[in-house]
Amino acid sequence: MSTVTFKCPNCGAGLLFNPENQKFHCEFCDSAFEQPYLEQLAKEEERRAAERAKKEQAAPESKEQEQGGLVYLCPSCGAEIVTDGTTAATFCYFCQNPVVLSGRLTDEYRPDSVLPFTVTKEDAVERFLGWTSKKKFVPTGFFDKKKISGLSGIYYPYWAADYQMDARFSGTGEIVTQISMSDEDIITTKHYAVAREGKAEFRDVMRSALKKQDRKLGDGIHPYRLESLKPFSMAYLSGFFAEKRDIDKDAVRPEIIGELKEYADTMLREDMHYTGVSGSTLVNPKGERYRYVLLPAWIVTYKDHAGKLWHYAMNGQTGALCGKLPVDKGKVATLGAVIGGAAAILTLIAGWLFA
Amino acid sequence: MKKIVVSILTAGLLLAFSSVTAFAGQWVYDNAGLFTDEEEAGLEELSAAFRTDTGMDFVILTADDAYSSAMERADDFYDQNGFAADGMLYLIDMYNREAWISTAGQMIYLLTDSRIDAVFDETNGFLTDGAYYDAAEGVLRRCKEYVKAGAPSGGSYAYDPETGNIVGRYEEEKSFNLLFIPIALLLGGAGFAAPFFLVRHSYELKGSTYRYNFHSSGSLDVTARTDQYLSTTVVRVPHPKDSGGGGGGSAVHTSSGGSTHGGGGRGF
Repeated sequence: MSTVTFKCPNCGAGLLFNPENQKFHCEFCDSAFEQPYLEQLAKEEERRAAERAKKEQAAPESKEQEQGGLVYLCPSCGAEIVTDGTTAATFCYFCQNPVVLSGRLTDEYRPDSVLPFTVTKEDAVERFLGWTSKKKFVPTGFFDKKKISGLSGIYYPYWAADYQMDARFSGTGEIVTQISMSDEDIITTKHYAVAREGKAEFRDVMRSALKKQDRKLGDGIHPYRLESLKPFSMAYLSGFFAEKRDIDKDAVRPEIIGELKEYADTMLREDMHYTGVSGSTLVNPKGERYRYVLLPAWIVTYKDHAGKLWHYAMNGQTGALCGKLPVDKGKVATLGAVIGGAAAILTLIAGWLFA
Repeated sequence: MKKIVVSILTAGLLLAFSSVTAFAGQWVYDNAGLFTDEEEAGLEELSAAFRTDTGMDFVILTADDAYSSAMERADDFYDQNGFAADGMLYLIDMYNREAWISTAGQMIYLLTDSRIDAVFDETNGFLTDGAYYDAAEGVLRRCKEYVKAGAPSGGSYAYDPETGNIVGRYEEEKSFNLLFIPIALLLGGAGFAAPFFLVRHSYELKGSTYRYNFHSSGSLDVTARTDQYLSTTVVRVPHPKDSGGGGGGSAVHTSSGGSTHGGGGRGF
């Protein structure tokens, strides 16, 4: 397999994607390039990478390691790059140049679309600090700017599914009316056989396509506005980390259809006007479209004094944040004592007044 | 004599401990000489205890001189001797051959007409037999029970016996309700625990996962509807029978001194 570093046509340094102006930027000579230009460059690189890959098959450069990690060679300095089985873009630890493992993103593993970062690293640090400063129960001094500045931008793989389906509900419904007489209530229940048929459409149902991703953390920063999706180009990954998918769409399909069945059921029931309805919905998918997309997230991994790791994720498009925060139990207990004490005292005062 | 000293000392001590009292303790006025010294001292002790326990005066008056009526004698004596605003007087009127209970203030609502009747039912036999101490002691004990029990459940009111108009209603004295202590503990505990739950919820990602919004990202067109009537069932539920509340009333009148008294009497 092969590696690519998108190089500045002017000076040859590694190019980085700049979320602020959505251009590619050379930190070295301060050049900026539009996306279509890089597109061409990327195609060229991919073609060359593919050629190299053919040669590699005769004499493989990369070798499988014991933990499933793989070793690549940096196209700039030739240093070894050790990666996870799903890494698709990273940095050379030696020369810090962005490296895209192009061989990881070919054929069926080539994403359909990518949502480029729009939150810059500086923005992300600022938002994160703003968020943590609002959380009053975090132990004092837990967050410091220096550690947070080590956050990394990662493209995560997702399945985005669109569905057309026929849905059919069948069951029973009842309408209950109650008349109050002087000495008794008369409760009348009318029973009906109820059926509904409908055509449903669902767009952009998301499922993570990466096994190692923390589902709660990953889902916590949704939704993304998928109308900004761009056709995939490897150039977007330059300057970020990226993961390739390791979950097939066949693995997420049953779960997605099951979820959509629930939605269809709810929507069909919204069309009924009964006091109570019981029954179930069956769905029959008529058309489906699965897109393999890369979505951007800023990730902070934070080690506290006790050595425990805390993970935080920020939506790379909207800036939405998610992550477990450490809680200073003493601070919470103090607030609890104040609220509890006030509640008790007020109740006792009420006990005097309304005895 | 020793007993009198002891009882005076006791009454003095009790008075010293009851900060509400401004009245120098005498509650028994045996003008007709119906009690022995020991009996009088005993009743005085009971009245003092009545005062400390209830905060109200229980006055015992005996008389055998002429007076317009037992009611007026009782009311006037209570009004003119500086007793507490809330209290009662038990009169054994030998001249009119009548026992009378006069009530004042809160006691009007505690001793309703029917309760006074019950007290006389219980004690007037003693008067007929000349057992005056037993009668006075019985009245005191019974009335104390009524005070402890509070106003009759269902409410208590004062009314003008001539017009039947209700002139006042019993309001529970503003004393501390013990029921509020467990409630205070409960609310205090809940108040203490609340921040833990809220912080846990917002800091530890509990239930904060993203839900797909199927109303904005999805649509459903209903193409066929069936609503076929099957049957009707009718259930009749009788109303629960209303049980009316109890309660009781006290007839009140205004004494010559201008204060309001309740009460009643019975001949013996």
